[in-house]
Amino acid sequence: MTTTQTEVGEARFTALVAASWKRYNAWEYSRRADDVALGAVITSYVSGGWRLIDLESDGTSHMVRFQAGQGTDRLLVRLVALCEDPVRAKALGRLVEVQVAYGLRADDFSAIKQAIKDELKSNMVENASEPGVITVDGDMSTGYVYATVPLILDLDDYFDGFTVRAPIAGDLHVAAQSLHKYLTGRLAG
Amino acid sequence: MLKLLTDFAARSEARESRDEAVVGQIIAAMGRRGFPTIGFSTGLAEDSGFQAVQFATPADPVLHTLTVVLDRKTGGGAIQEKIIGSKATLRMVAEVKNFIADPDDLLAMWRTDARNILRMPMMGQVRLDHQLNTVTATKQILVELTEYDGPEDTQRVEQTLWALYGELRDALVPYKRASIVDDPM
Repeated sequence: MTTTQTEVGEARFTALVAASWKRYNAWEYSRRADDVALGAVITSYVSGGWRLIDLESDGTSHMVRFQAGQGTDRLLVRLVALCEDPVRAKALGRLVEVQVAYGLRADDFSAIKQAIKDELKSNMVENASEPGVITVDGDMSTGYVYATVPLILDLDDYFDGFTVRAPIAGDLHVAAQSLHKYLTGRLAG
Repeated sequence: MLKLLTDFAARSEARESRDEAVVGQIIAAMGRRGFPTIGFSTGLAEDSGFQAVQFATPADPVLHTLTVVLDRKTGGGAIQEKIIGSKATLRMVAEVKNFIADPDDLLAMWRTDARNILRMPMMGQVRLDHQLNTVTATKQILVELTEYDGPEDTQRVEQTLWALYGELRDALVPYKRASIVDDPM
């Protein structure tokens, strides 16, 4: 084999490896989009004065809980990646199922008891997990009552690779505001 | 009575969640620097004090990723926290990835790799580790969580992170090679 033939072969090999890296990286972006979103949510809330008090993740299903810096209100965000596969992501978008829950501390035992009863009832209703349906739950051990709403978001609306297109925490904040209003009304009877 | 019980539960929760609060501060500090999260690992159920977060470093032409691991060792209970504090190890791992394909470069890298694989070279307290196309630098320190978990500790968190980052990055600069593709991270 001549020197020129060797050089041409090596150049072709380099091009094959470079193309492979590009395809591999497209896969990596798709697999990590939900992690990017979760970090953006944490950064936004912690920088806004909220304290991260819970973090659970198995790679595709994530849960974070925050407590207001000045006060006792809590916010819970559960995020599940629905389209980590780049083919599904291309067809449907980088979809994530997001559950937003707003929690208020209740000093009244009957309010928590009622919330738990409501939760048991809503578990028997088929459409409780549909987008926009608000359910209420109580946590006896900590004295909190939570209102929860499920949403399905497309991360392409918020991120272009690692670059933020629009803050996802802004949309979670408006969901939390609505939940706060609903929960305050429910607790007031 | 309910208020008394929930107050106790709230104090206990605040103490138990000190490590999560520090992780939150770390993620926020990295985010403000332009390093997005790309991976989370919160350990096994029986090791709830372990939390690892991986960051991409798009603003850094040398590094591929940074991983920060916070592993709580003490302070889960009120008495333990009072006596010995809330101690945790904070480990940072910086990674350089070389995207190369030239057989001569690959051969040179393999030689360096084979030479270093059993040596585990130390630069100060920084441990270097060669793994084929990747070189990592690791440093671990002990931290008191109560000094890092509040909004008033933001500056201390950033100082600690950037000191570690700078030290690890300096150790890795000599190992970065010209790449055939843009580093995606």
